[in-house]
Amino acid sequence: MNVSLALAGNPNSGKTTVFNALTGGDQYVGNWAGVTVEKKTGHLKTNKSVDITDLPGIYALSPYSPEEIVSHDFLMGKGNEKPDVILDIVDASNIERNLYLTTQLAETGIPLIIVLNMMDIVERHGDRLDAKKLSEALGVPVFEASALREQGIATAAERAVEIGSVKHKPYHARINVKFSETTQAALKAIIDVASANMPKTRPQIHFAIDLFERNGTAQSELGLSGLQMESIERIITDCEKALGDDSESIIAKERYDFIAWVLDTCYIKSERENFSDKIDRVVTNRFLALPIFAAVMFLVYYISVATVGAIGTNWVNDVLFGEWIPAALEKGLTAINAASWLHSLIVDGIVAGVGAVLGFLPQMAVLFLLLSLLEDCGYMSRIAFILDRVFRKFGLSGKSFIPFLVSTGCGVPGIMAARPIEDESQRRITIISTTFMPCSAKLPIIAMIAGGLFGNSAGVAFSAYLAGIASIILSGLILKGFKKLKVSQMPFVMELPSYHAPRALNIFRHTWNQLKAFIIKAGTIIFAASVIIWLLSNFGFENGTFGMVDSEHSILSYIGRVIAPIFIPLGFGSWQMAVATITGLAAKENVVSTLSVLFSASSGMASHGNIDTVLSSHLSAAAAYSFLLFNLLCAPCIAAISAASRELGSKKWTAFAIAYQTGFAYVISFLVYTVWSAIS
Amino acid sequence: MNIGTIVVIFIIVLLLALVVVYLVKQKRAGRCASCPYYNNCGKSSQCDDEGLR
Repeated sequence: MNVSLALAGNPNSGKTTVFNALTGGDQYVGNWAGVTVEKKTGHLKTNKSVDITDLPGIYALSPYSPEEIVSHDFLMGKGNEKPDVILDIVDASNIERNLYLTTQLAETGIPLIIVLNMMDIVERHGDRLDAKKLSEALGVPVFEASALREQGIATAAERAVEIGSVKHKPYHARINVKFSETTQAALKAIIDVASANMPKTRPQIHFAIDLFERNGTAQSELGLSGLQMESIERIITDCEKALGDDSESIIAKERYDFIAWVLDTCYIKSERENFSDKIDRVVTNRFLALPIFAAVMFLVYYISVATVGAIGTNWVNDVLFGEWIPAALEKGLTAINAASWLHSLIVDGIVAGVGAVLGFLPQMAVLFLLLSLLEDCGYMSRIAFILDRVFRKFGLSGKSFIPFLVSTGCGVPGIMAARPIEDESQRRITIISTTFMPCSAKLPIIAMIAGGLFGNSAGVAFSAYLAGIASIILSGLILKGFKKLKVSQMPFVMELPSYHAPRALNIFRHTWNQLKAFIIKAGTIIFAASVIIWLLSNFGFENGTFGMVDSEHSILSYIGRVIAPIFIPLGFGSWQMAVATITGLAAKENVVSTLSVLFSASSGMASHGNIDTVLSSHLSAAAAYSFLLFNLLCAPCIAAISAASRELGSKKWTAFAIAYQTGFAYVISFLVYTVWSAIS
Repeated sequence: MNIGTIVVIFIIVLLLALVVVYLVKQKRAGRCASCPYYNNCGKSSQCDDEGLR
């Protein structure tokens, strides 16, 4: 018999870590709220007949924001899916707020098991939480766990499977929130009015509370008549008058009263200031926060691009792809007597193209390792809090920072991470501007320019990151001026997770996932693109006949020369740079591989060194930086464009986004090139 | 054209064909071929349903 378990809980309570531990999966885990925006399904690794669904984190069971709708609909059994048991993942270090959702989950009638996650943090804070007493007070099974250490989760899952295997489950929810007498009377009266319309799939109290809170979904789901709605409205209004508050606040307050009563029996909070609070006093300080953030990010780029990462990249570029592999291939091709044009295709095309991209792997590895460290220990979520103050002035909110942060890996999930932003205009602005952040595919371009023209300068690499943030801020300011993007400021509430020592497995998994994808892309898209670019740059018409020609007379040079004039005002009007920019639309790494293939044959890269050094003889510093900026800020790759199109939900908005990004990149690059050239 | 040249051309064409097959498979699986997150992007339920993980 198949058993379906749902992992529900507050954002950042550790659901995805539990999911990975139970399924053996490697879903992306982030130490901030809002990582999961869609449900994910897997099988229990010890029992394949058990389905486990990881739901997006929610604070309450209300169907408003997109991720709340996903969780709400799944738990309500919409779309023919309904879990047999809910594993409620509770962040024990924030138990009061987490239990609010628990009380709501219990009312769904689905058997519930509480997993008290992060018990190690509770202990570290000096707090005391008695799981046995909590279980007695709530009337549901409670298991202590630490998802990070994979402790206690398997036992909770076993119990959940046991409960889920029982065919005819009675309503398991025994958490009876003790509402005040007035509220109870109102709820009972609502049940009396609407009981005939209430399906047997859920307890009547669940529908009654939904109606009491004037939840429109419940009203339409039950198909109540106008007369019934009038009676219910009268009941609610009378109760509101009696208690002097609105119905939603009454329910919320009484739930928290109940939680306080429960916690009185089992929870003792330590009075001492905890470790996270001490750190936060410095890193979120009104004046120190931004300089600390800038210093931290500079250090990250200094280590990854200028020092440690550069050592690895120089070796891969100069020795591995510069000497060993070309020499070995040349030797092999000569031995089998392969045609000379094949030598060129393999060495100047494939090895130059794929090698140019893979050469930056060591820098990427160090960069992602450091970013994962900052993320996993909890620092990155503070940045959202810090930047909220800045973003707010420019039509964005701190919530937008999460998409921007995710976009440093890849724009596609970054765009999707904009879903929890409630304000439609803010969400659109975030989607349009999130790909300004330098993603992993753009890192080779940054490293190429920083390495070739600025002596591996960490400042140039760091400035690319700053340019991304500055463009986002500037775009917020520009875009909120559009009539259809009028922003209504919503309060930004974000939970700051406790700092914890980064877990090596999490960091390596995150870094490896990024690198693996990069290697796969180099071996597939970049490989194919390098072959195509080599063919187009080595074949063409000369003296009326088609055949192998000098790259200046190739098909690609003709195409490039048509496009190139557009880029003359930006300082990089050669056909090679124009072609590289266009191929970047398929995948941004293509910019580097295309240049490498094009210059490999024409400039004799082997005798001059790598692509970055060849570039220095081709571009001025101003033109190179303008080229870098344009490729960082213009329309992203096709994958990100289609993700934006899906999330914006309209072709018109997608076209606007592409036009805006490209136009913005053009203007900024033009200004930078003009001013830089004038000064120098 | 000698045998060495033919063998090398064959290998390159074979590799290109494999790349095309891989990209088509990725596309059918609902994954973005150039997204480094693959099944970590939050849309992996589709991949799970199709047993692709």
